[in-house]
Amino acid sequence: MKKYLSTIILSLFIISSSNAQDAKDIMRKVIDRNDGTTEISRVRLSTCRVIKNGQKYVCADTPRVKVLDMVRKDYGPNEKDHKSVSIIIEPASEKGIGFLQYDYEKRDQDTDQWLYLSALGKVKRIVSGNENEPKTGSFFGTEFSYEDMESIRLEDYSYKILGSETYRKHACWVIESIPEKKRARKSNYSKIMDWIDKKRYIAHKSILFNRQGKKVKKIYNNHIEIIDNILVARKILVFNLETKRRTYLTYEKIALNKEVQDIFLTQRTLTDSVFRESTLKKYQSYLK
Amino acid sequence: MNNLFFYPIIVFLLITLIAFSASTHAQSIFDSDDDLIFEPDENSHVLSDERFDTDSAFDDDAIIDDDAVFSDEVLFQEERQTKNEHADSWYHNQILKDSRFTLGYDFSNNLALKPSFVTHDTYLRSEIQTLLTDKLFFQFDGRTNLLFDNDHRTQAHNKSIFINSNLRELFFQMGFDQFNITVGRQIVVWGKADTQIITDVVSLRDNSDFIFIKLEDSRFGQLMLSSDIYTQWGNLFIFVSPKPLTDNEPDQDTQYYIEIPGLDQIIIIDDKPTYADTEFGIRWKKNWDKIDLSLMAGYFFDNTSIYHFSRIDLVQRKPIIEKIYHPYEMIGMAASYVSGAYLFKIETAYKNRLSLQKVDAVNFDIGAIEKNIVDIGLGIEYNANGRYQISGEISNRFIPGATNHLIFTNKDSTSIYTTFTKDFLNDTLMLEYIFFYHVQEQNNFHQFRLTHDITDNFQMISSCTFFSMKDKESLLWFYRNEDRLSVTFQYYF
Repeated sequence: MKKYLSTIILSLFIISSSNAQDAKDIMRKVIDRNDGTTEISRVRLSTCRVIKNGQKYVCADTPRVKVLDMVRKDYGPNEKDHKSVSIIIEPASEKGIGFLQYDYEKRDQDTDQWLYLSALGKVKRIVSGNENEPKTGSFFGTEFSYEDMESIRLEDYSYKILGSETYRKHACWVIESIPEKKRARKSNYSKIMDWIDKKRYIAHKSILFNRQGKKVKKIYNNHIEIIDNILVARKILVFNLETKRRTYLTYEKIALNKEVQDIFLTQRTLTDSVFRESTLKKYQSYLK
Repeated sequence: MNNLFFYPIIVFLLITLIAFSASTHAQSIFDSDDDLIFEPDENSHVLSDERFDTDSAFDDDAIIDDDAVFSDEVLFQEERQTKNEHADSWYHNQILKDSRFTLGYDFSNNLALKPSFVTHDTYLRSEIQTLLTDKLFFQFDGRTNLLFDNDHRTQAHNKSIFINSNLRELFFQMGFDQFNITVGRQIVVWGKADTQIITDVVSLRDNSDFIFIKLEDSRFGQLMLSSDIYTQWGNLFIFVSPKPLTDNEPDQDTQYYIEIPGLDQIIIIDDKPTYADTEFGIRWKKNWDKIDLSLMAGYFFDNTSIYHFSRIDLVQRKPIIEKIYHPYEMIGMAASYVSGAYLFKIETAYKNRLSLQKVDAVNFDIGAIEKNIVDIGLGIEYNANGRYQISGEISNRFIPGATNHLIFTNKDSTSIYTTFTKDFLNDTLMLEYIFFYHVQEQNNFHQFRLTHDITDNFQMISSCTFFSMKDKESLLWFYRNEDRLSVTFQYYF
């Protein structure tokens, strides 16, 4: 009897430890999935408060819409350092505002951000905030927080496979990610559940839990397409269960792995109008 | 026997595992409230409905509302977009696309004495930023104001309606690999300080409405030939201005005009810089990791004038006073360093032969005294991780040597400026609080400003300003009763 009991216990232990290992391996594949060394895109962000109309959530007010031209390039040995430029196209009241942002893979290195306000005519360094506590600001007034837009570092979380299920006709693993102590200190979330496509290693859906352990956001990746040989979710929906607001992030046009000059990802782009506009025009000819 | 006893347990465990696995395919056991159905983003018609069929997040849930996808509004937008794409008019396609218009309505009331209108106007601002060819860029920024009869500027001109226009910028920029050349009327902004003018001396400012014009609206361009040169050792900016312009001061009889007793007994001649008075300067700028550094140098004409007694007009038997804009040289430095939630700023300038106003009433000596001056400003900004922002700035001007005949000027002039900013309503409502304090004069003012984006293109800005002036010898004493409530509506299209 002892023999069988110890066999079962050992088997369960092996299953659970290999599960943990598998979960991390799966998430490694998700995080390391090729997202292109460069990205040129026109992004539309549409946000509104929703109310339930029958079975469906509909906008209760006119959506707030922002359209941005974005250019990103990855750097570093693992291509985990990112430089990006975003220029606001719409709304008219914010037209011409530019952001330059440098994100680093290194855990303790703060993001560098510069803002160009065309009305003010100068480049201003932005203070991104304290890295040791959660950031509350939203990304361009949408339901995406800056944390939602950050790249995930594999080592910042512990992972567990909760199970498998079919979601939107795709076989998925449901994986739970719990932030490690250091990450937990500065994260708005205490837990994330992801529905990971078993074939393509892309999340179809994510549920984010706040620091009190309550569901706070659901994120859906839609219109998953292969563009320039890279898997891209062209439409992302985030629904904030607390504020009852939703944001659609849509890649209206996108091109990946096209040549982007290093000089374009510097302050020159913010202030040198002729350089910015002529280079963007060239880049936009790649867009699909 | 033992084996027979444990087989059913193992089989039971396996069956449970299989049943559990099967159930997850039928309905999510991990997300019990997975019943969210959203209408699609109606205005985003770029991703066609075909894609919804193949890989929609919602196709299992019948979330897509076909009616919405094919709603009239969307069809109209598609039609409009198609029209834009097929219109071959250069004017239609490019100039309009790259233009922005702002229609504004503004009024303000004086709160300190009997409430009355100070400003009451409407305006149209037009901005164009367009690429004419791959190497040529054009920028225009102009504004026409229509001032109603109860506006202080209309009343000063004794009219029922007063119309004025101003051209902020009009320039062409030619681009090359490592540099650009810009010709025309342009605004140049230097330095890091938000209040005191330390190195930001190039572009003139509009002071006609005292402190009530926002800094970004108060700057005006002047005719310049300039070039930005981009190198691995940093960026250089060089400019030459053949006829520098000077600050716009309040017109006579307007609300913020300082009435000097006996002015009608004096003839004033405004001796503005001419084409012979060329201004020029250079700035070098570089960024290292968390540090941004700029160094500047130049030869400038002061944007504010100095009054000089010239002579007696023998015909009118009145003294003639000339307003002269004196030249000076400046070298300056501005730097910032960011660390976590803090941004530290420093800016300093040494101004050689800067002219200050001298009035020796005993000897009737009105003119300029040249001084070598040091201006310095230190600032800090704190971002509470998106909850709010606080900034503080302290600046000082030190004048060496005797200062006894200088008017409205202290040997040390120190001012403190603090701001608090917080966003509400998903970043559509911004509250700003500004506090300014002059240490030597003990004058101060508080300003509260609310900016509300009512829609994406319609904005309301309201502000309340309260002054507390203590020093009767200071220039700000003249504005002790100018507490003001201002409201502006702006529509962008």
